[in-house]
Amino acid sequence: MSRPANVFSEDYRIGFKEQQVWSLPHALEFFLLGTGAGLYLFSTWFRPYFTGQLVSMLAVVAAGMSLMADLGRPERLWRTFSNLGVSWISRGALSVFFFLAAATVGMALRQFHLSPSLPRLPAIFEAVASLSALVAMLYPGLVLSSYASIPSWNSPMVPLLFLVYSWLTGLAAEWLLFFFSGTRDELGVSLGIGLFLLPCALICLLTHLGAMARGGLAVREGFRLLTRGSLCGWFLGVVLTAGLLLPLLLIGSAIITGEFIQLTALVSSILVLAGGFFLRYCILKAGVYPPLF
Amino acid sequence: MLNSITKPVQEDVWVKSTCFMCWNTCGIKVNKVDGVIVKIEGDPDCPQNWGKTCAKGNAGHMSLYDPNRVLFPMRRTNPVKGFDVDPKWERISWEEALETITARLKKIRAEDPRKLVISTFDTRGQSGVFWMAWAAAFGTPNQWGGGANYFCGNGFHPVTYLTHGTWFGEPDIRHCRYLMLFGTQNGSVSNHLPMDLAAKMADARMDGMKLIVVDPVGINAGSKAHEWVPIRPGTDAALALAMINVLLNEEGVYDKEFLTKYTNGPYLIREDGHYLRDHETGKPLMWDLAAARPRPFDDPAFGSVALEGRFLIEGKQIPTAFTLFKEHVRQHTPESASSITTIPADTIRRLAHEFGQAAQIGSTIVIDGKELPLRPAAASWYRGAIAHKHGMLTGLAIQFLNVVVGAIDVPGGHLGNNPVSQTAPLHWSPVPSADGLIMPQGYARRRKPPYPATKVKPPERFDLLELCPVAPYGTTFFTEALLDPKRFKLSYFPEMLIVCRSNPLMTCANPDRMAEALKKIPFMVAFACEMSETAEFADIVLPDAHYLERLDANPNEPTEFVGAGEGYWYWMVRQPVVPPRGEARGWVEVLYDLADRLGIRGDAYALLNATLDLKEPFAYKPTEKYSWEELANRWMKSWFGADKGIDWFKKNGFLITGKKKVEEAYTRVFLTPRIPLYVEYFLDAGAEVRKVTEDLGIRWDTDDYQALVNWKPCPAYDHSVPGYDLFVVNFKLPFHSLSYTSHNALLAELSEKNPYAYSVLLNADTARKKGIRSGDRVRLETEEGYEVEGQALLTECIHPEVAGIAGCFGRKSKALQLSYKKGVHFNTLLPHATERIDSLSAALDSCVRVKVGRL
Amino acid sequence: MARLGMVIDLARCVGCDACTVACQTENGTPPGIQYAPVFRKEVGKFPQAKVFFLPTLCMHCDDPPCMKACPTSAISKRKKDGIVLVDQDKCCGSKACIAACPYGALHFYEKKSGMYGEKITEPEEQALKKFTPGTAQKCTFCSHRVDRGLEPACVVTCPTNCRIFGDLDNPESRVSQLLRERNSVALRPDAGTDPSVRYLP
Ligand SMILES: Nc1nc2c(c(=O)[nH]1)N[C@H]1C(S)=C(S)[C@@H](COP(=O)(O)OP(=O)(O)OC[C@H]3O[C@@H](n4cnc5c(=O)[nH]c(N)nc54)[C@H](O)[C@@H]3O)O[C@H]1N2
Ligand SMILES: Nc1nc2c(c(=O)[nH]1)N[C@H]1C(S)=C(S)[C@@H](COP(=O)(O)OP(=O)(O)OC[C@H]3O[C@@H](n4cnc5c(=O)[nH]c(N)nc54)[C@H](O)[C@@H]3O)O[C@H]1N2
Ligand code: SF4
Ligand code: SF4
Ligand code: SF4
Ligand code: SF4
Ligand code: SF4
Ligand SMILES: [Mo]
Repeated sequence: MSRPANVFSEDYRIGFKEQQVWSLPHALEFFLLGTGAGLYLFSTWFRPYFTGQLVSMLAVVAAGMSLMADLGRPERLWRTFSNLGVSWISRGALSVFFFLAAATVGMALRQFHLSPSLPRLPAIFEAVASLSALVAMLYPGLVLSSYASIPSWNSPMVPLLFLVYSWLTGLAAEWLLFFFSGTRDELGVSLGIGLFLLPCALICLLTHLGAMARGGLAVREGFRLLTRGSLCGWFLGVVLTAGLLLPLLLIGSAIITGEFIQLTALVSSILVLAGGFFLRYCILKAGVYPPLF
Repeated sequence: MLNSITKPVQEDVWVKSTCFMCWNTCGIKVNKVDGVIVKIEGDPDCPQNWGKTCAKGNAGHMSLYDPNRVLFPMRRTNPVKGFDVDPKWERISWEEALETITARLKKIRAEDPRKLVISTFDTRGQSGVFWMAWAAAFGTPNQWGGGANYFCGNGFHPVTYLTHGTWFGEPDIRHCRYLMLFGTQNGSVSNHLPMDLAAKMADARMDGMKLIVVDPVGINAGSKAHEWVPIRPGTDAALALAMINVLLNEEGVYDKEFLTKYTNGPYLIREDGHYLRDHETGKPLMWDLAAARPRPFDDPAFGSVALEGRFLIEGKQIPTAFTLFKEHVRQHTPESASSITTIPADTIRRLAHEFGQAAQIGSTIVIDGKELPLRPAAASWYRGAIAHKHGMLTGLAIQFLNVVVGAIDVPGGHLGNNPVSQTAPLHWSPVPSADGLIMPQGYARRRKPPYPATKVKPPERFDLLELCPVAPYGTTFFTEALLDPKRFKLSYFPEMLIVCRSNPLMTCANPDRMAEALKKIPFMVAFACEMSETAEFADIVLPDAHYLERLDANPNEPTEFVGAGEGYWYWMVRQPVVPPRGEARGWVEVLYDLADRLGIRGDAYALLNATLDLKEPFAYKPTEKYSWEELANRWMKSWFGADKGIDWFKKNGFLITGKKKVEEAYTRVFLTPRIPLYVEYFLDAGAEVRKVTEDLGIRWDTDDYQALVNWKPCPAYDHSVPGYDLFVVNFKLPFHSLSYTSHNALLAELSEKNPYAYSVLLNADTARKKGIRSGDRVRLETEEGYEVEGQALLTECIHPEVAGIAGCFGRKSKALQLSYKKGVHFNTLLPHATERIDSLSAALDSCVRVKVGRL
Repeated sequence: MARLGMVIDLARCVGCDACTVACQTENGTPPGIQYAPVFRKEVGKFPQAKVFFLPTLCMHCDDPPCMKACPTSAISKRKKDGIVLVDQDKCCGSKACIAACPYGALHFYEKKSGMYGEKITEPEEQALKKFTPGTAQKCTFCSHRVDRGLEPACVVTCPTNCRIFGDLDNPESRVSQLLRERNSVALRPDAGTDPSVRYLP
């Protein structure tokens, strides 16, 4: 009995049960997927950037592997496409597949100039990959929000939050890449976008949190976990303070003063990425089933 | 997918048998696939359980396949015995084991056969009857019930014998409308016939039967009650007597006709407390109101009998027994009982009122064309109420609640389990004693009835049963005698203990003291399935057949395991579903193997022929050596006919011999012998005990030999050293049985997850005041310095003065990985002390005061 | 077309756990997996307090969220009687269904192990052949028994007869009668699953 087969039957008391099937591996998967997809969009449309595309695809592959590692029967991965009609996981899996396929083709075409006669062809593939990326950014949130079992997930704010965070962490990943290989200007612009996205994420997060505080019993229990319970360090410390407020402050001052742009990019990137990861983790772990009776 | 590569099933059969996961005997059918038992289900046709099985019954085969089972004879090579001491077992052959044992037995038998002691709870059916005959043939009276008689039916069986004329009893749920449980969990898968009673009680509760549960703990039975009445432990008699007082003296609600006809209430009582007897016949007298004179109780010329009053006889005002009883209970006011029990006086009055009203005194019901009294109110009691110093008096007090409203062996009341059988092949019925009181007969007399009192004499048995003339067994004293034989003037000391299916190191009182006692016996042979604590103390361990590997004819003794009241007569069989694992053998078969080596088989057969009343040509011939199966076969054929041999039973599982007649189901009005409401014979019995013990210089408590029943404080009630402010009590869980099942994988899993199983239950308010929260590790410590540790669980469902410990956990044998040190071992807290034993029923007081502290 | 369902009479249940164990042996479920646990909750304050018992199993929802969550279409609802089953030959072990079930009725069977530890007993060896490691498992409403005309194991064993099994679509069935005669509740009505297991409080 290496781990509980099911949280409900772990203890026969009727009461809140914290979901346990989805934890670190899934947080990692959702994080890498969102970040990769976000990075891809930035690297494709804002400033075409080969390394960005490549890294984004690697991130998505890593996300897939993280998922695979958690599958009970990874050899049946292919079966996950078989319920597109209703299952958001199926749809998500398909989007990832399309993303990787289209992004690879697009990149190969562009990089090796394989379609000189059709100059727009790479862009078409990139567009398809980007659409898939958008779905991939949204789908983890949609999976969660489709579960009536866990009311704190069962909210339209969750996909929105995942979407915004995908953009944000994609952007933060770009900062990191630019730190190593970009120009100061590129960095400046990219950080500037952060000044827009960070407040967006903050607003979404606070809205969600506010809704949780006023939600049903199990939702409030999740709220308690996030703000006072076992998750409060990760959530208030890492996600909120380190992941949003601090970067906002750092970037704001860097842009106003024009100083320490490089360092700010590096530090903020790490902070935002960490916050982005733990946001997924916290949302998953704050999923609480209401008492059966 | 995986299925396709496995080979097809060769064998898939269902075998009928009898469960033995608790001491009940539910009919089961066992599914064997390719030689492996995979499933147990209730036998839907068996009248005992109609297809139902509890969690334990469902899990039975998991203990058969327990990888830790004892499978070979083994000899201890480490002479040091103790918990956590490795016995350094060495495997030996059966032959070597039996030869070693035979040599010892021969020596003992030549010297003094009493030096052999047998301890087992395997006392029913073929195994039970056969080992007892073996012991008798060997010549030892020393049968030691172990935990089974420490705080089991001690204050119950003697009471049912006195009042119903049989060993067991139960409420008549079919007709009962108001049921009070005093310290028993009838209906919540505990006590006897749990499957039958669970179904009937659920039906009755749905039909509006009111269920009152008097119990310090409310998590099981109390949770299904209309009213849970938390009571201070050891005070049930105070409640029962106060209720009786309200009925007799405040409400005037009692069944005069019943009391007059069926009890000794009308008997006239002399000043010295004895019956006033007829000079000529010596018979007790009653007062004839019409003739205004006393007459012997059975005088056919009686006009009308006086139940109450004082009558001038030979210059003295002579009261009836009932008059004395009624006056006696006056002292038990609801107010005084309230301060004893912690139950509000209003509640006591209301309960008495409701009980009296529910009894519908005077009402009748027609069953099968016979008009019978209908008394749909009953009080039921068992272990919880009577596992106390004054347990027998408590049992009587509770039963007298039933008696005063006439709710004994009539529809709706408290019934005896089959005091009467008029159905072939066996017939029995209680008869009146010379004094007109109930004496069980025939089958119903197979255990020790309390009446007439057995002869008091200097003890020869190590359980001192000679000093317990009204007790069903004396087991508890056995440990005392082992620890201090001189104190009881015993002239010999046990040389050898054979133990099987009894685990005294877990189920009695403090195990360290018990270990001392066991270590004093030079040679110990344990038959074992699992390596229990007790088996670990043995010098030789022998692998015993599991219940699914052995044959037992008639395990369901009808005075215990056939439901009381309407229903069927049936006889069951327990049969091997698979052959014994390893080198295991049925232990009684092994005893008979030893009998050959000792040359006592013929003697045992002769005893069996008498006990079982075996008829030719099926009686056992002393010169023959029958197989275990053939022994069963002859028994069955002798009783049920040549066509109903063991093969028939193996095929059918059980035999229904008939539907009970009204005379068998509701016996009271068809019988003449009376119930002693005034227990006059206790006076003489007590005097005898006093005389013999004084002569021998044994200090012995004889206070409880009184004709009128009282509540008396048990030791824990009285002392209260500051700080030791909680009583600790034990209760059974529906999914565990004694210590035996705690290691069963499926059941151990339930304990892990059930919040109540492995915890120390504390009343939430009480605990908060002590600064204890759920989940804290706490230590419970008694005044004697015994202590246990466990995890606190705060609950609203327990009396504020009580700490509750479930089941029999905290196993001490390392071989039992799944239960080793899991949960809390209640019995560790109980001291062994003669003063804590009820001198009437030999029950050990099972509540002590503890101090609870956070670790 | 039928809709098999169960009505559980909570007033009768005594919390004995017979159903839990009967299900385990009937289905031979791996260690730690119980399709039919009995939950408990204390209600009230001393002395008006009691433990409330809640026997459970898969609710065989009319609109099963587990089925909608499953990416591999491993979960299906039998047309003929509404029993919801996991096809462990299709399941990829994503555990999505486990999270999606509001009742905790799905379990993950990770790898072969024994109840007594390393040594796996013979009945377990037999039973575990039926389970594919790495897949989701759940109560089948004893479809293997139902298909042979038998009632589920947990129903048959229940000492208080509080689990009643039958066709909810048939107005003559015991279950339908009980639902007409007495108030009933569904667990987690907020989850909108329309469960086929109903409780009589
Ligand atoms: N499930 C299960 N069934 C069993 C057994 C088993 O171990 N498990 N064992 C079998 C055997 S051997 C026996 S003897 C019977 C026993 O059957 P019961 O006598 O019904 O035994 P318990 O279930 O322990 O119930 C005793 C109750 O008394 C309460 N109690 C403790 N002290 C007091 C007290 O001073 N006053 C009152 N009023 N109540 C008190 C306890 O809290 C407990 O609830 O059960 C048989 N059936
Ligand atoms: N804490 C606590 N103590 C109690 C009780 C309680 O409820 N709680 N109940 C009391 C009562 S009412 C009773 S009757 C006694 C009972 O006390 P015991 O008679 O000691 O009962 P068990 O603990 O079941 O012990 C039976 C032993 O036999 C072994 N065994 C089981 N099956 C077989 C078999 O087929 N063959 C052999 N050879 N051995 C087998 C088991 O491993 C176990 O060691 O306990 C009393 N003590
Ligand atoms: S009540 Fe006792 S005999 Fe009946 S199934 Fe349960 S354990 Fe077996
Ligand atoms: S078997 Fe019946 S009475 Fe026992 S817990 Fe299960 S549902 Fe309740
Ligand atoms: S109870 Fe859970 S597992 Fe069962 S059908 Fe409903 S959602 Fe699926
Ligand atoms: S664990 Fe299996 S059954 Fe459950 S959702 Fe995933 S693939 Fe479907
Ligand atoms: S219906 Fe069958 S599979 Fe489902 S809980 Fe009951 S016994 Fe288990
Ligand atoms: Mo007992």
